[in-house]
Amino acid sequence: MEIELFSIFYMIGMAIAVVGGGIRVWNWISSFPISESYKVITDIVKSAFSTFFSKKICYIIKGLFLGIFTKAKLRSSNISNGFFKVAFIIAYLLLIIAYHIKVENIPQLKSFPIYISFFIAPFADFYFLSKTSIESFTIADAFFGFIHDFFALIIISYLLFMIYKRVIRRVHLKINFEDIFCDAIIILWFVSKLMAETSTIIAFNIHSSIAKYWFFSYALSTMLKNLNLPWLTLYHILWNISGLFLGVLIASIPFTKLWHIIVGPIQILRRYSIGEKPIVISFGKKLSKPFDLRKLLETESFEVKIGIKTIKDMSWRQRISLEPCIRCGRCQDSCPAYAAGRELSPMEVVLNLNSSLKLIFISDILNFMAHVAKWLNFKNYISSLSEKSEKLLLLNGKLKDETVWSCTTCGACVAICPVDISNFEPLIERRRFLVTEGKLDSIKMDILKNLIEKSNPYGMPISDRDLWMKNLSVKTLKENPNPEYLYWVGCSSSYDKRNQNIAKSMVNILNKAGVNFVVLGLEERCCGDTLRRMGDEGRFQELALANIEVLKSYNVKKIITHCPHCYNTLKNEYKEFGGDFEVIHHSEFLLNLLKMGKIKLIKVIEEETLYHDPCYLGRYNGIYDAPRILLQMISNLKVKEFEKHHVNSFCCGGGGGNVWYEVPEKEKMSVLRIKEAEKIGVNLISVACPYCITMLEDALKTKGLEGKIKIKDIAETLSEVIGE
Amino acid sequence: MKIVVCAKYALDVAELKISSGKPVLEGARRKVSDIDKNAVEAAISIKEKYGGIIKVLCFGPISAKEGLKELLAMGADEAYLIEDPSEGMLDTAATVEALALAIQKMDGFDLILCGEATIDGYTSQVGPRLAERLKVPQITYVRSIKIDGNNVIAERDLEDVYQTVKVPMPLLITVTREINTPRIPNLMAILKASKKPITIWKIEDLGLSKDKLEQISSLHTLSLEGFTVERKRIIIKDKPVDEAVQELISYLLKEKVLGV
Ligand code: SF4
Ligand code: SF4
Repeated sequence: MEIELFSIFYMIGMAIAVVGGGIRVWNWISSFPISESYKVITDIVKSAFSTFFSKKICYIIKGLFLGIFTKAKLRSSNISNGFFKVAFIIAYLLLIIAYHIKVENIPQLKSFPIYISFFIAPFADFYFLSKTSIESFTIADAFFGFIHDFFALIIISYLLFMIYKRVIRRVHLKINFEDIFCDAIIILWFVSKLMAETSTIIAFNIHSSIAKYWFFSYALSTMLKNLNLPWLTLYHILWNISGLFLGVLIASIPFTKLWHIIVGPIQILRRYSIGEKPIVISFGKKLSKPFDLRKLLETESFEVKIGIKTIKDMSWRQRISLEPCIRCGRCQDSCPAYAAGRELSPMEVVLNLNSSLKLIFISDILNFMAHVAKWLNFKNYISSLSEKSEKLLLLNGKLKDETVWSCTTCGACVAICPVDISNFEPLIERRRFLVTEGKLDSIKMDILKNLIEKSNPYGMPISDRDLWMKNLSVKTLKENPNPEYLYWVGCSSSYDKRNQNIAKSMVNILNKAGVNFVVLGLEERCCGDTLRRMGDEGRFQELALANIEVLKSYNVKKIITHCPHCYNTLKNEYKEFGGDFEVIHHSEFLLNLLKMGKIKLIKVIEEETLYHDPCYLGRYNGIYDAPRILLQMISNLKVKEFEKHHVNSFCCGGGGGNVWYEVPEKEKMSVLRIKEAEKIGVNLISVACPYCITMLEDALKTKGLEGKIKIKDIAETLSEVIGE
Repeated sequence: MKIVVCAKYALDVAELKISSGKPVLEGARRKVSDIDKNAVEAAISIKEKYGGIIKVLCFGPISAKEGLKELLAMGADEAYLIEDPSEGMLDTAATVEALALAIQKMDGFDLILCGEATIDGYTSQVGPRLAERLKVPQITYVRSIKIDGNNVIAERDLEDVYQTVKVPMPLLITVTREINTPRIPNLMAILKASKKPITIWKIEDLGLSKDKLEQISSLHTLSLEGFTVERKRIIIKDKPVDEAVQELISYLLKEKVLGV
């Protein structure tokens, strides 16, 4: 071995990385019992194996690339970024493959299993392209050499581009030292390596038939060859320097955002192995279930931990899922709450929690020291140590209440995050904690109270729930026990004077089309969406179970609803509580009626209309086309698009309970959306969600645009064109 | 400190329906009177600071157990229910008699808390009458409570002035809505509270009888009428803001919503 220091740097780097990595893994599993940690790790390994040896791998590969492209496309301005990233990942994978083939063919390493030889390869001669390695030159070397230089070029240019964006174009307000460091250390490593290769080629006068595969270094060498430099010394120095950079790079992986190289793939594998489409968000449709009320009632043990008081209250899965963040800021850019000037940035949420996560290890050490102090009988230190240890983990400063309540659960952040972080999951978990502790302001208390006492968020009498259907020809399940469909009206259209019109329009259409349908009338209760998203899991389950019982007692099979929130809850969340129904959103149902010719148009809309994607319909459930096609079928003019549409749609501000309470902000989200519409210049905005109507109409009032722009549900528009 | 809170399982007037001129009392929804929850919350915050035990006491139908569970979940320690034989047809004097005897049956008290009024009857009488009946001092319409040794320092809300008074215990206090925001017990707390004791007394257990209570009650119900108030449906539209505001004010003055 001629290049002693290289291996030493590499080894030191590895050792630091292993320790650092160990600490981070400790942070995932600390406070879970050993048996559970063991189970966690074996589960991960097992699922990785089963994923690899099943057809899921196809989903993953497809999902991965589709995902990267779709995500890149989400930000059309950054298409170049997406292509770069894809090229980068492909080149990276190829490099690993080439590296493997190469390592497999090295005689000295053959006796080692592949996962060991992979890591000790930098001790082998071939790595340095030196004279000895040339003697054993094979086609595998050639492949490796080519891929290596190719990859090096891509990565250097990609990272230079990133540095340019960060330092010169200032995509983020602040220049972050860590970002620059991570970009720079990789560049330094590759540049020094390329230079070392060049010096090797010159110093040992490697024949071009071999050297040409390292095409970049080779090209450099032909240019520099004639310079009269001490190439052999340079060869030593440059390889050692590159070793230093490699050591620093490896050592910094667990301590910087480079960690995403390790955890990013875990995250992405997990997501795409479900075979989900990238236009649908992976988190939110079905919130996590901390307990099952039925089981609690059975066992009469009500001691359950709900929500997150400290970082340790997060499950290992939640902890891991936060770690791959690369601080790209896309979530923040797409967050409507951030745009509205609320005290919420989904990126900050993730970063704050990640910094908390890192404290687990320190807190555990303090705790351990407290135990030692106890054992040694150092009374003065025991309490202060354990106090400090506990304090470190508290989330009070990291997740401010205002931040927690600012989120509309719109999912824009989750949809755009390149490493699939569920940014708002911790916010919901925190709400659960605040609700359990009763730490709510009086307005939020009232909302919950209304939902608990009156089964609707307005606090209107239960007995008024069917007032909207007075004088309409609608039957309840009691009156017609054998319907084909149940029409689920939802709180908003049952109580809100404006939104009752949606329900009335629906009844008109369904009757005209001769659909055999009923409503629940007084037996309907809130679906529980607001309760669950505001963090009152217990009451949500109570309500869900009660609703399911009613629906089952009438043997309901198919449910139509026009509210995307009810739709999402009934369809995706009730399953876990024994409610398996076929739930159909009115946009799809009405489109079907139109297509089958069940309803006749007596006129068409002559106005230009702009369609606004409701979050819980589009991003949450992938329904983008039905409402657009429907509008197109009843309109003379083209349906227009907002600047932000489809999976990029901008929340009206109503989700996650936000319709019912106010959050300090500079400008309402709904106003921002209306401004967008104003720019496009239309008179009619079509939506498919009652909350959107409430929020956007409120914005019209704020902007004084009442009468100039109309907001209508697609059912209302359809009802108008088929006549009363 | 021993605290007794009197709570009514009142008619939920928002849910009350009028059918052919009569309010439908049969099967009408009930809930714990809102202001009584403020009283319980006040008791809890006193207990949190000074320790003690909170007993809630209710004179009402057997279904009031549901309401009491909620109060136990909020943080009360024990609940007592005196079954009302008359389905809510007794007046405040009779109610107070039952409550007073029940309190005397308990092992003493330092503080009795009531809501300033109930959401259905809104007589504001039970608290003051009970204090008189038990011969203890009372502070009504209280918007903040402090304990100072054996004294209570309370601020009374007398609409146009606040009055701060200091009274030695034992005593009775009626609180206003403004004193606090009652916590909403989460479901787990309610489920857990189902293990706390609810003692149910018949009036006979207190040495009373239905006849005797009816005698005490000076209220005789002749008939129960319901009437609906129609909205005025006045809309001020298409006017400059200043004018519209002036007009609105003149309407409000006319309806005596505002006074000069
Ligand atoms: S869900 Fe929407 S509002 Fe909440 S953090 Fe994400 S982007 Fe922002
Ligand atoms: S989009 Fe994802 S990776 Fe980027 S900053 Fe947000 S959470 Fe981190």
